[in-house]
Amino acid sequence: MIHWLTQPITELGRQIDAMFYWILAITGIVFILVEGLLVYYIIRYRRTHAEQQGLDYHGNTKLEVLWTLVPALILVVIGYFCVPLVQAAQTPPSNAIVIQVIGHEWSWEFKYPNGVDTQGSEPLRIPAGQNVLFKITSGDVIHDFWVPQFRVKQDAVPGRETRVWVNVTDTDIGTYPLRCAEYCGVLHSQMVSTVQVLSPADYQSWLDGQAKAAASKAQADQLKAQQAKQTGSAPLGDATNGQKLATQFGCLSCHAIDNTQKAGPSWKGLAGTQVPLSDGKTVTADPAYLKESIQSPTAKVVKGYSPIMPQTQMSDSDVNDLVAYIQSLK
Amino acid sequence: MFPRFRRSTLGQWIFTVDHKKIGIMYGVTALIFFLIGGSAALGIRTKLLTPGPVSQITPDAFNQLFTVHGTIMVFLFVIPMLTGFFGNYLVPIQIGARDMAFPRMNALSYWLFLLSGIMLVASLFMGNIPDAGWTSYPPFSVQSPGGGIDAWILSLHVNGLSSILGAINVIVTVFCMRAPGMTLNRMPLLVWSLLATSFIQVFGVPALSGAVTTLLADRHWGTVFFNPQFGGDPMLYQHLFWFYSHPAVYVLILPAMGIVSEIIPVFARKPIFGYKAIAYSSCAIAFLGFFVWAHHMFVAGMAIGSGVPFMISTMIIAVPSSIKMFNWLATLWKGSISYKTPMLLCTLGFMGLFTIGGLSGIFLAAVPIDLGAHDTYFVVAHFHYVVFGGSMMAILAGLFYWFPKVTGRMYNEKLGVVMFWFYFIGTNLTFFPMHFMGLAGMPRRVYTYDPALQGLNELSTIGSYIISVGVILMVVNLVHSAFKGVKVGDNPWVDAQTLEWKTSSPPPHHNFDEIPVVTAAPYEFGAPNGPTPKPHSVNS
Repeated sequence: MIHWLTQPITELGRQIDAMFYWILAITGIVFILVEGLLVYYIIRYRRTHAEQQGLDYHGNTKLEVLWTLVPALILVVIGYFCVPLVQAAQTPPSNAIVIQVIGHEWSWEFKYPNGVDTQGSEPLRIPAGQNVLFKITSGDVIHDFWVPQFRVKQDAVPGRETRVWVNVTDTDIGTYPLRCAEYCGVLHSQMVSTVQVLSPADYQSWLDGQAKAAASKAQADQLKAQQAKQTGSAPLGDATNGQKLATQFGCLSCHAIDNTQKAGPSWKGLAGTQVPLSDGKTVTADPAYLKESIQSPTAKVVKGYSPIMPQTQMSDSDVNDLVAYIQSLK
Repeated sequence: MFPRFRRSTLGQWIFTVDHKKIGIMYGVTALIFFLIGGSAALGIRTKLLTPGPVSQITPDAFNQLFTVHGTIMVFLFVIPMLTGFFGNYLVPIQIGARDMAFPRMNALSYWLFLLSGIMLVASLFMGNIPDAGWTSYPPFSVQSPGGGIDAWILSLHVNGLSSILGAINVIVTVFCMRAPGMTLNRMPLLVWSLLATSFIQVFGVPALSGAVTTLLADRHWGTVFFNPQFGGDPMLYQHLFWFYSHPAVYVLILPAMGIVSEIIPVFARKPIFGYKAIAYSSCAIAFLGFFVWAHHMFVAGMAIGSGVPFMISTMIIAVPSSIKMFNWLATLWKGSISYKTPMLLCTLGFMGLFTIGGLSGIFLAAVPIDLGAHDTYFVVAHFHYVVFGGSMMAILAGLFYWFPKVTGRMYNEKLGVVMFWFYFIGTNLTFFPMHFMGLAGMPRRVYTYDPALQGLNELSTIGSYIISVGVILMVVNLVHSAFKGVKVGDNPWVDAQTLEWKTSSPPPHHNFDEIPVVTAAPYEFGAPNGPTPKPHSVNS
């Protein structure tokens, strides 16, 4: 049950930890001094006799000056040594790999330099031993990009770009947790992902593979769309991929697939039915309606439910896949 | 004199403009809100016994619990208790006045405070409980559906008005109503601290009201103060909010320090060490408190380097607090200390625990450390040591110290000491493990957490249950003693020298039959030779 700081994996992180231990030592000494004196005095000077008086002594200016200046000096010294670390944290090196980080309710999106864009529960992947700069923003409310082992976090603020840069030590290849540290709603605590620190070679081959896969999927989608247009039938999407997306994007936290009561309407047998809306109208759950409800959740709200579903940043083909999955739940 | 209206007992309370009755109403109301806010805290801790989801408390309910807990404890318990109860009851009587400068406005402050509390609690029954945290950051708070956030906003408006009126009253009373001979430098230190606090309220609350008003406008009237799509900025709200809410932290702690400064000399039978240093450091804290707000925002999107000036000002504001701590220690030195409940709460309780909260604050003030520690349980540990270990201990100490004056009866000392130990042990057990949770990577305001941290969370929850036993003992002691306690005379503490002890317990409606003339400072204790036992003498 002993828990302490996690192991830092960057040079800056280790310097910040050194600062932490200096402050711990200084405050530790003050702590022992103050609490020690307190306990000593309240035992040593307890009243042992009903008539006993304290010393008639009102103060001492020299002491006052001393215990004003000494703490001030100590604190200024701490502040002085913090400044270079602040400088280092806010100045990213010029040759860094830039990864865009976008916070969504309640998952992270990462955009890599070659256009690869991962979403949902996909981990963040970075190479070890290289400078990586995260440009952080948000698609909805404020989140916070936090990998404890980096020792540096920044809020993801809509309309603003914040920056964190790291250079993970070669020996620290591995997987680390990535959390949202700023309260962002119902599933804030489950907005958890991971960072995979890979060797530069592994990172590059993953990135290339990803780019290739994206290209071929786009081609296949286009083909399918053409076919669908020609034949005018069959769902546009791929239900198997839709099922994967439903877990990745956390849809299933609020939507059941077995008719149990959750925050959102159940998907089982939903497609094709008549859905009563909160404004008193009714709508048929055709693909167009399902698609609209995913892309702009508050446009049509089902009767008896609150408009709490967040906007998701899904590509058009992903939405089609998801619709196909919902249609498959008979 | 005009003939007086005859009123029923209830009418006497409802229509009263007497600062003592208003003070008591503030105190009782605040204690009721403390029980509500405390129950919310127990709900939070009970959920966190296990790392996973539990069916009895949904994530939604959890978010509502911590929002309600924070809001109630800050705005409906600690602030009204300190400025409303202690401020109202003690400021006029300690400076030898018959009442506040504006008695009717004083009554209005109380009723507005009650209204604000009812407005917030009413949201519980409207099915729309606020869920955006006590800070209510946009855009989340702008998007949050239902009337919960609106109830929260309007409640803060009314509460803020109540605070401003109360603060103006204290300032005018202190400057205009002091008894002959009561120079500023003979005022009890509690009055100094409440004066400093009142200036914070007058200058700070408008910023908060502005922040929540713009929030309301963004929610309902289509304005875009915080909407980046149209050039607004969510961070504007954070600046406005913390411009009040950091000084508000000193509203929570300064009067508590004032209470401690009153109690320690009485039970140590020693003059307070460094009266002027303690009095003026309160003013320094109130002033400097307006220059540190952005230390809540080191990772919020400012350039990291912009944090440096705020780091420096935050470091500087630690100095006046440490000055007070050293002066209290020096007051204990060569004292003749008797450990009644209020003294235990002030020494081991306040001094012992506030020191921990103060020192952990130095970590968070240092920007590089805060980049990691911000928004983690380390912060939760820090401010609970300040507010629960600090303010709450002082509030309890004050409640028991002035209880015989307010009710004319003595509380049960044995029960008081037992209560102290429940609070002291419970507080440490609840909040100390939170430092380690934070360091190990547990963020604030989470419904689920890393199962590896379950042991620490269990300890913390057990601690909170121990505190609740202390709370029950407190309520039993106060309620029972108010009706059944032993009757006391004017000055049950014998040594106490401030003016409230020179009139009957409870004091008459007009406080003093004759306005006292003050000829000395308030803490003239002690013998020239210090703590050697004096031979038995006739009554001193």
